Amino acid sequence: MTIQAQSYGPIAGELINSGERLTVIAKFERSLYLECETGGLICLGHLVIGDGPLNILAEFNDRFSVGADIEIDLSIATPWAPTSVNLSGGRAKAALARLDAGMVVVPPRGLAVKDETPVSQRTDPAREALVDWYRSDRETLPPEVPIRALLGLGEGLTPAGDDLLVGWMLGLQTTGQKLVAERLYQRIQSLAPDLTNAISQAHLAAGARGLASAALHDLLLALSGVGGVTDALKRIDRIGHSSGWDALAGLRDVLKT
Amino acid sequence: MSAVVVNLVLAGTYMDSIALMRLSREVAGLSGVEDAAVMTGTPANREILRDAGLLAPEGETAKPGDLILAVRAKNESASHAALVEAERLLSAPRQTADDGTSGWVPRTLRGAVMALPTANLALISVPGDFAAAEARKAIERGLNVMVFSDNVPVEAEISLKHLAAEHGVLMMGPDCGTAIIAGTPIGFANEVRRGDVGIIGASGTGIQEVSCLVHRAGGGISHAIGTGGRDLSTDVGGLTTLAAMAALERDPATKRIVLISKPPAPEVVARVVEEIQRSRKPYVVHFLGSVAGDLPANAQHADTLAHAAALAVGQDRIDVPPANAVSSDGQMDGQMDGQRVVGLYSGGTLCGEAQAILMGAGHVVASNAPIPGAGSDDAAAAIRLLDLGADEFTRNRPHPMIDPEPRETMLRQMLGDPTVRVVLLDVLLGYGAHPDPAGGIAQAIDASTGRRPVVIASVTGTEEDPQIHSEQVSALTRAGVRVAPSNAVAAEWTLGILNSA
Repeated sequence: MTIQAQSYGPIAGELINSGERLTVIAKFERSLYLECETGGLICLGHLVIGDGPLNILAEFNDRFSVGADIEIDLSIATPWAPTSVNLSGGRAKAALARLDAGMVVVPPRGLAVKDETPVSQRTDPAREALVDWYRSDRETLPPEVPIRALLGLGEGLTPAGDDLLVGWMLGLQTTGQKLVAERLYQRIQSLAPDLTNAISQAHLAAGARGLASAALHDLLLALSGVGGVTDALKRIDRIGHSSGWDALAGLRDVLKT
Repeated sequence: MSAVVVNLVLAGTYMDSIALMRLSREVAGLSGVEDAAVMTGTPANREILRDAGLLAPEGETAKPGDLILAVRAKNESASHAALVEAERLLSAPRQTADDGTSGWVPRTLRGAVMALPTANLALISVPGDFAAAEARKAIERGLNVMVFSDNVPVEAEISLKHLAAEHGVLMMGPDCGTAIIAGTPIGFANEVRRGDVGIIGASGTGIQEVSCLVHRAGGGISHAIGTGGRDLSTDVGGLTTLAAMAALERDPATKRIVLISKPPAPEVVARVVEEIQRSRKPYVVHFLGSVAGDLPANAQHADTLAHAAALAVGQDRIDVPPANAVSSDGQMDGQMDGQRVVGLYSGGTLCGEAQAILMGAGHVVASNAPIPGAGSDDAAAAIRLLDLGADEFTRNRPHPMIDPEPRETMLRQMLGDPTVRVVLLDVLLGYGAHPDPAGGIAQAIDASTGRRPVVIASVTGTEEDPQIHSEQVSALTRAGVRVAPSNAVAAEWTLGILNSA
């Protein structure tokens, strides 16, 4: 069965163009996750899920079940790639001010608010340890303990702790700290196979390249002064249960540090 | 007897977090279950389950890509039953898809029209950002449209309604939760008999209340057309209301028309009144919180939704409480010494109607969804009426008509609050609503100890609804709830208590 794609993200495009067989490994209401022979993952979704690095958007029916093979035709599809944003130096402070002003209008949730849930109780010390590392020791690999505490922590497809780490890596990439982001991912990559699921690992790998959902990139653009922060936050609010906010919490940790 | 903890590990099973949380809550609410959680089997999550006393040896072996169903129950049989039910709930969506005759469910409008070429109405329920595009496609295919989705910009609404007029179809919504078209309930609607009363409503729960009261009074509904809450605003100009009036004017099955709305814009009212004047059919008009204005000879003003239903079936009043029911004469003293009234509504219009009635008697009312004249929300207000279906309470969680648990939590708090004298509730039945909304309320009241406020409720529904009106009323009555025959009477009873204090 060949599906005509309408748009595709950079990682999904690379995997499709490698010509590998794609097999459905997970099925959701509006999307399927496909695994390539070499282990890479693609999210095939209906248009409503929006663009992202792993995403291929298309109209398709839900006949496919786990284990089915699918072919995807990109010939008429539009490639999606985020607009590059630079929030380094003094721009980070201005971005943080815009973000905090927006969060007054659009109330945050998930890890972007202080609360006493079991997940928050575990993430708070880990976030503090990451901030300490970033402030004083960023030339070395981050400590193992906070990464171990965060990976796989929380419900759902991409656990809140993983989303937070994606936000950290996105923040580091955007503020010109690419080497630091690489060190962070080096530690994540060494621990993730035992601590979180394969789908979330694929999103972490995308985060290491500075890639995340289009809604997060739209927010980065708005934080740089292009577009409305409030509208962008409303789109963040619609990602998963609180995945958008969890990633945003990581991004904010970087901006304020 | 000590609690039993059991885990079921589903290897390589992925679910999104919203589905997981819903499943956790449903399993936790089963009989004999003390606590339950459904989480992916990562080490971090296993630690959370362990700390919560929910991890059994089976769960210890789960992998990050597995799903753990964890249950702590009072005994072995309750834990087993909970796991069986959890597995059933997990497999339910797949069964639904596979039960179709073709085994295929269309995922696009084009596919749906190909599967059912005679369809003349499309129900659009997608995230607001995409609803307008889908509605446009449907209208351009000549389909009437009901847009259930909210968060559709007003500019898009206006454009769609003009497009619908060009194509000669109706565009109901956006944020249209209720309609009954030719006897078919759509969205949150009730099972009512067919009859000669047409309803046009810029309010879902308003349509439900009127259609149910008409049905319970022996009447029936030809069509109930939802317009979307903004239709009678200055910006939209009543485009769907006017189109619906024209459609019901042409419909031979409709003999009289009830028009209901939240407070409309005066200039739009004038346009609507002109149209009523041109009609050959009698109208009943209820604009929430408004007093009788100048209406043409073929129209009657209704003070409340119940009054509108009564006039529609040719009666003065249909919500008279039974002789032995408590009434507004102050006999319904609460057990609390407090003076505050707190309304926990799942229906926005019913919340608005209660505000109008209490303000009409001279009381100051605060609400998160204030009608003109009411104050903004204030947790310490003497009369605080909350619309729990409003955006701030429903972001990323189901509407309280579907998942009443958050309201039940608030009810428990109010039952223990010594400053509260009356708790006002609406209970909405019908398709789409929770299978047993009264059950959760009764449980919350049964679990309360000591002195508690008076709880007054109305039940919007019919005997033919899946929840069965009389059974819901009985469950509430057994728990000590004073059940009023309409939302308006529930508010009037509250006035009686306030006046007697």
